Amino acid sequence: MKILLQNQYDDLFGGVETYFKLIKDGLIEKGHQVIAVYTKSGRKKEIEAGNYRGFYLPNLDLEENTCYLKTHQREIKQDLNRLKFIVAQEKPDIIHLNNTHYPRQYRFLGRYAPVIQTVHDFFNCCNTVLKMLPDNICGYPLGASCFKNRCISRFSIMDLWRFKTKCRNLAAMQNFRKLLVATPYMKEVLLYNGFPQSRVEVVSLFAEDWGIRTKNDGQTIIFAGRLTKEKGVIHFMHMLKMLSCDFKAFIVGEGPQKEDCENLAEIMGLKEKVVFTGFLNRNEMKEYFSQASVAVIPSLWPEPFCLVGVEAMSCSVPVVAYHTGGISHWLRDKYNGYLVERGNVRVLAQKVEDTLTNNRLAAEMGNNGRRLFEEKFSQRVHLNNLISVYETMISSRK
Amino acid sequence: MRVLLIDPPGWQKHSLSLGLAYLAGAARGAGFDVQILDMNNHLYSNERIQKIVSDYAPQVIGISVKTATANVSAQIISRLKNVFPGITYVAGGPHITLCGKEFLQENKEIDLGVIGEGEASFVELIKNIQNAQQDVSKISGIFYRQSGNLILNTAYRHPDISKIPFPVFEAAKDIDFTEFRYPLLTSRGCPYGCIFCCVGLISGKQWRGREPEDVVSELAQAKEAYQMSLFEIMDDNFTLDVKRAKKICRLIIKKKLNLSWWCHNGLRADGLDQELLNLMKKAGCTSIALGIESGDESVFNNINKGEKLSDIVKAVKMIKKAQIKCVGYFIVGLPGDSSESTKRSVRFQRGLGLSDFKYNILIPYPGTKISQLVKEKGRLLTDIKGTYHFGNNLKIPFETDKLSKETLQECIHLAENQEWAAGEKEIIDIKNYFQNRFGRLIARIVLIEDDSKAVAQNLTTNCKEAKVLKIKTEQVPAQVADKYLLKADAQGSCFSFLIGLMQDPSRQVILDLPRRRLFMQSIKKISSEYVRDEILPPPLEWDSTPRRYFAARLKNSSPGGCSTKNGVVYKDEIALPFSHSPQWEKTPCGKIESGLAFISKAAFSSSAVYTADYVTSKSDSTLQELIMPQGQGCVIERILNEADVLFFPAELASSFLIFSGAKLLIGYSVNPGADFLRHKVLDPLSMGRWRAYAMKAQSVLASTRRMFFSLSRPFVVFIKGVKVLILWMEILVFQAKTKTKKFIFRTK
Repeated sequence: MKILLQNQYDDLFGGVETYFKLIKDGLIEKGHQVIAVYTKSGRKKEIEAGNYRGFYLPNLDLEENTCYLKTHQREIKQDLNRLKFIVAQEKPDIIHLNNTHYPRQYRFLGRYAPVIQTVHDFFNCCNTVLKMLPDNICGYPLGASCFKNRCISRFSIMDLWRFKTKCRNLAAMQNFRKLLVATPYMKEVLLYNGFPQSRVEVVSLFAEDWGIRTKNDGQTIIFAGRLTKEKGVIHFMHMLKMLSCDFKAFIVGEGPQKEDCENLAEIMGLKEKVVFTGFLNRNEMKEYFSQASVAVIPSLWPEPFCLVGVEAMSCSVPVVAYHTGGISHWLRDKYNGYLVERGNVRVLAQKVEDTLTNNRLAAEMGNNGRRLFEEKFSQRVHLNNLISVYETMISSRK
Repeated sequence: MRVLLIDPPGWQKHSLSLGLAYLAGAARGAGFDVQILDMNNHLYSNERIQKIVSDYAPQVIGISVKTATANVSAQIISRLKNVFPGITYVAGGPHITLCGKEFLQENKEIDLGVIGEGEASFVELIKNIQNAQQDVSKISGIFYRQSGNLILNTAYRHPDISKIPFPVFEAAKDIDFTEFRYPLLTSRGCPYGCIFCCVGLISGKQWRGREPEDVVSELAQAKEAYQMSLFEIMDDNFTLDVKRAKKICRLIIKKKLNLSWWCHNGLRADGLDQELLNLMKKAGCTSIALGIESGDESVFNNINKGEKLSDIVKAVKMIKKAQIKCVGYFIVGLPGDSSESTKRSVRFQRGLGLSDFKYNILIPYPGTKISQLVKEKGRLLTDIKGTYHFGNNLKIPFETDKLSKETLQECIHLAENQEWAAGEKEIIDIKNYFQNRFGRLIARIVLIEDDSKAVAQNLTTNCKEAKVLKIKTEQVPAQVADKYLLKADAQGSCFSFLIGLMQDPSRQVILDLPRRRLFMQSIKKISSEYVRDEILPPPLEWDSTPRRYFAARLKNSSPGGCSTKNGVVYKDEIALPFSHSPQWEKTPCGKIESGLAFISKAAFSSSAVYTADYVTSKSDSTLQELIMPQGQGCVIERILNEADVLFFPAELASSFLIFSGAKLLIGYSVNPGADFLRHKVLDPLSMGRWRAYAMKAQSVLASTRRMFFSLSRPFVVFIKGVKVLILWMEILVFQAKTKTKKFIFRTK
């Protein structure tokens, strides 16, 4: 099978890139031919190694400004022609768009091979990208409700332009043969945005196997993610304040709310107990997770998948999280952690304390998590699912 | 025995009388106790002087008398004599040497006089007084009284200066040596016979130089004793023996004394060569002053200086080449001087490119050739025993048949305000142009003034035959109640009528440019308000820019103090002196601004409280709008129609002024420091005027555009609305095209 994979970076950067690299390596290992197209690398170049070829087409990654102001049109056109040429020349069996926010420009690829797109986020399903209303989670499709909920101003040029562009992108995505999503929640979102049931397939993501945790002192709480409002880091701080047992908290990541959190830690008298580690690479993160007692995910926005939770599971760390978005896909209440009502800090604190104090239960939950990870969220499972999707696509085309 | 030496107030500050220091040195060498009372740098009240005298109880009081301080010296001595009749009073100094007989005859309180260089005779005299010997007739070079007669013991010879002890400055009590400028004398006497100079009469025509080794060892000793870093050469003629001067410089370099110095005395332009100047620079000399006296060839040749004007030009070039500052001293009022020669002198001085210059008035010092000339062909106007030949407030001391007081005043004005020289040529060109074109001289000029007074001064100096109406442009309040009806005079000219009104110096004309209206302002000074006792920050801080406002305050007049033009600063209730010529003393002094009250380092102390006195004068101004009688049009247009030439600042070239009916329009701009006037003649028929019309049109266009953009907010809103509308149209069209009807407006 000859597969053309599109992604932004070839470097390991965030969750999506890791995922991309792993499936690329996995597919190659299984004897498939892979052509990679990177759309955000520095310079135009071509690499060739074994049965893997990579092309760098840096102008294809559109940013909002470029798209709105219509700059670099010539370069974009050149790169698109190049892509057309590559596809025509290589004749891949299947084209997998991994991470693109403006899929409209790839409409033409359908002529050469079946196109699959993995939808990682709500970029084209929500004007504000977060699918959050001021007091709740948004359960509406992109459309009139956005105006009703005041996510779009009727008189703002930028808002209207975004809306128009997203509508067009959604319409373009209708032309793709399959849309892969990570969780049933994401599938639901796409369905109410007008995609037919048959076009959307849930293929769970997977995490790297970080191995079972090495050390557990029964005190370490970990939070990993951007320090922003939607990730609920403030809820995390308040939760720490409510804990009555001894603990040590690590906050991994950077973000606009870091300063607020540091101030909050000082005001709450938690300065000694909370460590802000800043941005960590994956190896360092592995170290932290392998020593954690519990991972907390107080996300307020509907997480499309939340890879951090699965990573924690791979280290057999129990997870306590708000019940939002796709989290319930991998977190079963009282089996491998706790699901708490979104925004209920008191219960969150109670559950974390339960996990910390009840070592036996925590260990059991960790083991359950590890088992679940191996069953459903490992690379092997994911690759099998993916390849079966590819195969059905190819066979249906024939 | 104790000897008190008094340096009376009124001479240059920030140094100490070198003569008294030499006397103190000689007297101390002979075993006497000497103290110097420096009234020049410090102000003493009568009571305080008396207290000092009664505390110190001297047997001899000596006073140094210069012509400019003769009156004040006499006053001091007569007051002291009334209180302390038992003390012997001795007068010395240049004035005693020049006309001691008259002085001592007028002032009977003074017992003895010492002429010439008094180191030897003064010591002999006080020895005599100590030993109570009555016979002083054997002491050479003194005046003494015998049975009511004044006798001059003439057996006087200039002493061998290599044997005189070094001067002693610590004899003065209050002196602060931190930034002390050490006065150094390497020679005495000058053989030249400049007709205004009295040095030959005081120090003799015979030049006597000290050995270079002796000079440098004095410097080394002084450096060690006073820790000073500056010195000044006070010679009458430092470079008469060029070899000796070079040797001194070489020794200073060799000994690595590391002193910075200047030479504002005793340098002749013909006595300089490049090697000497380079050596001086290497030895630390930073500034050199030349007595140029006059830049007019004929006047210069009249003064018997013994060198040529071309020597000066050469010397200045060499000094500049050696990278030393060059300062020029000029004299106004020399024989043959006139306003024209002063102009030539100023042009010459500007051509030299000096670092600094100073114009001083000629004082006919007694015994000089000039004083004889004044006696024969003129008359003294003031008592010169109280008149300085330098400073800011120069008095005219004399006039001759050829040189009237008014001419002298004009000469000083021309020399001190040199703006007329910048652009002089251009003004004459404009005059000639006008004459060629209209066949007559310029009679009426309207000048719209800018901030600099250069053009106004230029016109008054170079266009004397024309009447100049100076108009300021200022913002005038919208409501001016008072009006003045401007009539035409007998010839029907409003211009002449207005010029007549402007004879009153307290009136000025103001033009409100945007409204095209003319106003007349008369300023009346109502009263002066006396403000006293402001506590000042420590003087060292005054040099920093924010403190400059003290300068502005002190610029006003001072009540009964040192000068009529400066404020007075008090240190612990004692008034501190100010300098007439602060431009030389920028480094060692805590000065505020040139020409203002400032304090010598000697007066600094951290614990002292400084206060300031100053006077503010309140002024009241009334504004009247000038109007024409009914139906006779606008005042400014009427006046401009009558004018021959209109001068206006170039930046007003796009105003209504270019449409005026004046025969010639000149748009000018003044570059500070430049020696020319940048200008543009706009003849009524010239391309220049058409270009100005085009500029006017452009400015109208610009203002229209500005007006349009002031309306641009609704315009932007409109554009935005259109964009939003287009987006909505696009969205709706997209909705219509999509196959599923409710693609966009679907709900869950």
